[in-house]
Amino acid sequence: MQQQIRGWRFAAERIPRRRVMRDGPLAHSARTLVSACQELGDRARGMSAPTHGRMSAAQAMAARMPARVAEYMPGRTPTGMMGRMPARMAARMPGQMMGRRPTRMPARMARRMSGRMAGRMTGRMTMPTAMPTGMTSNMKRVAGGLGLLAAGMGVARWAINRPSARERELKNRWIMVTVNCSPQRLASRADLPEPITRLGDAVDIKIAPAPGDRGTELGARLRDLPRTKVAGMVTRHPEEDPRRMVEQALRDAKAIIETGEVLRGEWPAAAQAAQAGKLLEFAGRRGGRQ
Amino acid sequence: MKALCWEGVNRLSVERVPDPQILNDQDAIVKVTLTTTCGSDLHLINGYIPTMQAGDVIGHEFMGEIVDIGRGVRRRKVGERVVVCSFIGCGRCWYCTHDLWSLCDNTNPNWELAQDTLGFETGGVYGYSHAMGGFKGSHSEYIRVPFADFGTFPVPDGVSDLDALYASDAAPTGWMGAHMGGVKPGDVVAVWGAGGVGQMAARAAQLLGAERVIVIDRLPERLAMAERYMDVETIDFSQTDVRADLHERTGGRGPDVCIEAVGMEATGAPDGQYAYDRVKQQLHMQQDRPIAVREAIQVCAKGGSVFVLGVFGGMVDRFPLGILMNKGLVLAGAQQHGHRYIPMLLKRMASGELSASQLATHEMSLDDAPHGYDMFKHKKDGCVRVAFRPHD
Repeated sequence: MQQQIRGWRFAAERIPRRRVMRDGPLAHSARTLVSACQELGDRARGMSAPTHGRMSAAQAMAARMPARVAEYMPGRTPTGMMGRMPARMAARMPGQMMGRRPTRMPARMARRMSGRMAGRMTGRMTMPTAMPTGMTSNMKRVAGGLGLLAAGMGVARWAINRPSARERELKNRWIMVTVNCSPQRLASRADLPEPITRLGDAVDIKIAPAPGDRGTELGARLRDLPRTKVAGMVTRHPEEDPRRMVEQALRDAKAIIETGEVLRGEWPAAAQAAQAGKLLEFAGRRGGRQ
Repeated sequence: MKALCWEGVNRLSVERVPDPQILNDQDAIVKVTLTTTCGSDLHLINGYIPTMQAGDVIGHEFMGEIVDIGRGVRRRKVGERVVVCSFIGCGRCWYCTHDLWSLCDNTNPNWELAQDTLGFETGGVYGYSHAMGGFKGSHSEYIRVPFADFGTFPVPDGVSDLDALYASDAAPTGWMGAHMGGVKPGDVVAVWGAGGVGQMAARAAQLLGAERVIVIDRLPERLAMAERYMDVETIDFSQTDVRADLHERTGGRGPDVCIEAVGMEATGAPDGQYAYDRVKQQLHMQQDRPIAVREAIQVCAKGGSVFVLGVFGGMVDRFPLGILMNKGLVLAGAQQHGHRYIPMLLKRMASGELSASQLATHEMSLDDAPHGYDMFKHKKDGCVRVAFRPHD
């Protein structure tokens, strides 16, 4: 049976595929599936033919592969893993890894050639008489299908369960800056400069010494994340994003602590005023002072 | 006042713009007496740097005279002749206090824009896109200088204006490449690019004790200038195989330190790299053409170092990471930390040890700046740098 399947495989590679006869006892595909299942069952019962001989055949064939490629494709540099691999190394590889290429590569190469050369090459080909693989190609198809199915299910599960981009974006993280001063300089909330105090109770504040001589880590986090409507607005108008306002406040506070002032850009003053206005509006509302 | 404005890709014009004002207490207003072209301006002009707007004033390498100061300026006074570092540093953040001035935390008001384009924000720089602060550039009659106590440096009496001009950017950038590239006495140093920065890097390598310095370029007048003023070896990459030549000259080892002073618009490569990079760049599939960086990594001695001084903006392709790793190379790069080096460079200029005025092959009025940039861009008439005098 296996020999028949092998024969069909190689014939299919040489000639165009035709429609299967309807009145036959079994369609090709059905015969293929039956034979694959039979082989799987035999293996499960420990009845398969010993694979040692097949592996040895595959290893020997792999060792000859570079020379064979050179023979079939004169004037071309062998490329890819097989082409570059020394014969000794190829012979050491397991038959199941190497078995597929030795049996199929010459046929593929010949098929890719066109015109007169194709006929010549095909004529020179000598097909291996034994199939030096651990699994038949039909079993590979079944296993491949199952693998694809499992992979698809895994991807679908991951896509369903993962947090959406918006959820990840709006996760209420601490917004941090590192200020080049000692932690004692920022010992209490009262020591913080105006851009932070202006935020009032809208934020939690975190202060911690930075590693080494890097100063003090200053962080702020919104006590309440904006609801969905606001989140939609945030997407459309980044300047109204409360998290962005908190980050700007932290940066301004850092600049004031370190340099005594916030550097003003040379963009139009109107744009800056509008931005600052939004910050004040948000801070006042959240701080309950409006 | 008049200023040279970027009006679009390959379009420059001299326009009238509002006078600068003191916006912060630590600002100063400087009357620009000399300002110069820089190779990195060409990336703006050619449209490879994002976040430029029509009407932006360009230019970042300049010197002048302080004409006004804010009430928070303590160390400078009106009338001082100063050179100004092209990067703006606050002087008090962690990076400034650790001599990493171009990484300043407090001088880029457009930090969000920078994060969108680069993923982080650098310090501010004059006239170099809104992502890098949106500050008006120096190709104008006057300029606002933030944190003037830290960013301006009085020019010693013995130093000419033209020498001091290049202490603003070219000289400290070149020095940084040799210094942070780890040049030691006895090293062989190769420098890609014989423009202003490359020549200053070569001179810095000599002063730091390099045994041999080899400068690589394709423009004969620039190579001749490097030979004449610095007595370095040169390689014309259009006439020879650079890798083979460098291996031959270094006993098969390769240079110990390679300094790349070319940047994102490198030209000429032996194996079609240029065409490949150019096509990808034009199709917006890649931002930079890192031909010189690739070559430096390939030819550098085992265990050596490669320092990238040229300006790059984003992702590159065909990067020889395997060579870098297996050779045990150190790869580093930076925008210039000029505040760290400018006082020392001015001293060396005053003592005659370092000269940079030869870089100014052409001088002209600011009114002729578009023509000057055309000469500079197309390397006409042996142009290395053009110095503009805004008040002529």
